[in-house]
Amino acid sequence: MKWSFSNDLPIYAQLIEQIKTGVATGAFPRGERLPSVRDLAMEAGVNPNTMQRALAQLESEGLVYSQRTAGRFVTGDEERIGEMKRSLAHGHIRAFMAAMNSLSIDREEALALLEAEYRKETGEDEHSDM
Amino acid sequence: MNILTCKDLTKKYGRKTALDGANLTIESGHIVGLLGPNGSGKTTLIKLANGLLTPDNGSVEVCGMRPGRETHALVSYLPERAVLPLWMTAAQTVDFYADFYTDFSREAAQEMLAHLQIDPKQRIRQMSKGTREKVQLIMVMSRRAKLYLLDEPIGGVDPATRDYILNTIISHYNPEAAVLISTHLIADVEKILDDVLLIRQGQVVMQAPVDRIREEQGMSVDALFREVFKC
Amino acid sequence: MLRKLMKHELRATGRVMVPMLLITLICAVGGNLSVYHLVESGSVVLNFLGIMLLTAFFAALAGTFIVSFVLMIRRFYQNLLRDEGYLMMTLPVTVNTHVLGKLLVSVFWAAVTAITALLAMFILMFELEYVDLIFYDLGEMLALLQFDDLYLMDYAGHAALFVIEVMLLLVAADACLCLQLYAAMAAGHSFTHHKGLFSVAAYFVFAAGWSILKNGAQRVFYLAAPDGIRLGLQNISAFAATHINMLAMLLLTVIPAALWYAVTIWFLKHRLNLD
Repeated sequence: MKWSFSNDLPIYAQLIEQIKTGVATGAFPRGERLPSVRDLAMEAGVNPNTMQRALAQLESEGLVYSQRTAGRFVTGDEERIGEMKRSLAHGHIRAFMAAMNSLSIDREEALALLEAEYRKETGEDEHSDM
Repeated sequence: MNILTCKDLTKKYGRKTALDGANLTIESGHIVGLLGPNGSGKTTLIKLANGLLTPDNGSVEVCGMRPGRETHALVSYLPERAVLPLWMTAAQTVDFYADFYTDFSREAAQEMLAHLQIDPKQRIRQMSKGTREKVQLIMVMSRRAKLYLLDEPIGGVDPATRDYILNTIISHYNPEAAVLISTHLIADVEKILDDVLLIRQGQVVMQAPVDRIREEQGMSVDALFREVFKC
Repeated sequence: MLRKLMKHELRATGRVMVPMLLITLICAVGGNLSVYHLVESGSVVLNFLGIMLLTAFFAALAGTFIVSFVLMIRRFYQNLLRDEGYLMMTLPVTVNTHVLGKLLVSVFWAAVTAITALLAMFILMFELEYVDLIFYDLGEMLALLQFDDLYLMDYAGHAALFVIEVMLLLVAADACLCLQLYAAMAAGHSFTHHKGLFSVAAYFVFAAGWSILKNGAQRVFYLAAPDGIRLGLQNISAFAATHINMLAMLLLTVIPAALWYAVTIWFLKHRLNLD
């Protein structure tokens, strides 16, 4: 999975966000074992302590759990994951709304544009064997 | 446990004061960045920690000891310049380190040399600058030391090598050791640091965790550095 | 640690010294050829070739001595006081060990060079006819030592002791020279600028200092020595006198050597200034 970081936010916060996204997209499948802290840190190119901090936070939120010697696992709890997905989606939606606002595009126009884009995507799928 | 402590560390060269009462503490398990402009005292500080210079005032201690033969065995030092004898081959360099450092892993060094496709029979003299730096880094990181002092480890190398070096530092992370990285290239290195030490005109003006700086100042350390040290 | 340092030091210096020594020996063979067959032959060409070979030999011989000397200086300077110093002076090794290691290897090569020179001269002069003569002479010498002439035995004994004393003195003198140069370099390098100049100056200052000390001590000795000792010294045998003389020379070489050693160590421990 691809890690990307911005400069002005704390790294551990961004790690939490990206791991959550990874769980949502299935890059970290539910119920499956996560790579070790060191391996994750190497993958992401970050300090292992920072990665540890992020994982500890995710543990306290119940998204991951650790088993003594076996390592860390993504929760199997579908509901929890669903909740998290929705929360992430919520974040993206608010960001979208803020962007539309700054462009002075009102609710109706925004929804219409959104509809059109979705239709275009499914429309392309129908005509995909050209 | 405290791996490196400096108390009111002062060093003068004639009339010029390189370090003016520097204070800092680095604990085990931390990767710390030593950031500051040229002439701020970074290299002097590292030389003092290595026992290559003696303080005029104050003290520097590694694992509670004054720099000397015992601390040399605990400290793995990557100097900024090329220091390996030119006549040696890569294999002889491995021999050398293995002979003098009990914490040196021959296998690790040989593996890294192979991974980077460096011919063990090639002489340092015949290597490009970048390859020499890689060899030096390999030797330093193949030791299981308590304190790693890296002076500008990613300075003159290409981005791919830079990534490799930073990766090597992360992969060798040891909760019982500390790493001090002195560098200008803050943006590249920020993500792997726990804390940063900002040094200016021989004094440590700030010691803080990277994430705290980002949270409180709302900017990266790189950006903060540019502000603090604006010309 | 000393052994390991010396192993690497021998590796570093052997690469230069061994070829030089081998070249000298090979040139000695060439020289031998030249002396006995080429130089006084009828042909001008062969004469010339003979002279070239002899020149080559003496050049190689002189060159090897010079290289041995320069290498000794260069190794100390290059390996401990320049960029390599960042590597060496951060090893878990005491300054004492560093200096001792360099000193022992330098004296080693000086000795090897001297022995090779003797061997080379021998090869140069070697002729099959001589072998007979040598063995004949050796036979005669051994016959002389037939333990029935006490005076000869005594003489042989003292001669042997003398030879040993001379060799010790040569080794001590070489060590003293090395250490004198090490001390000068260590002192000169402690300055920020003009390190080379200060090293040369240090050499002369140290030499002058020792000279003054030595002269002063000698005068004090003569003035203060009680008459008994002076008279006693005038009445001893030639053998004893020689040995005492050698002992004195040895002491006058070893004492300054120890002094330069201490000076070198002090500067490297307290005034190391790698730039």
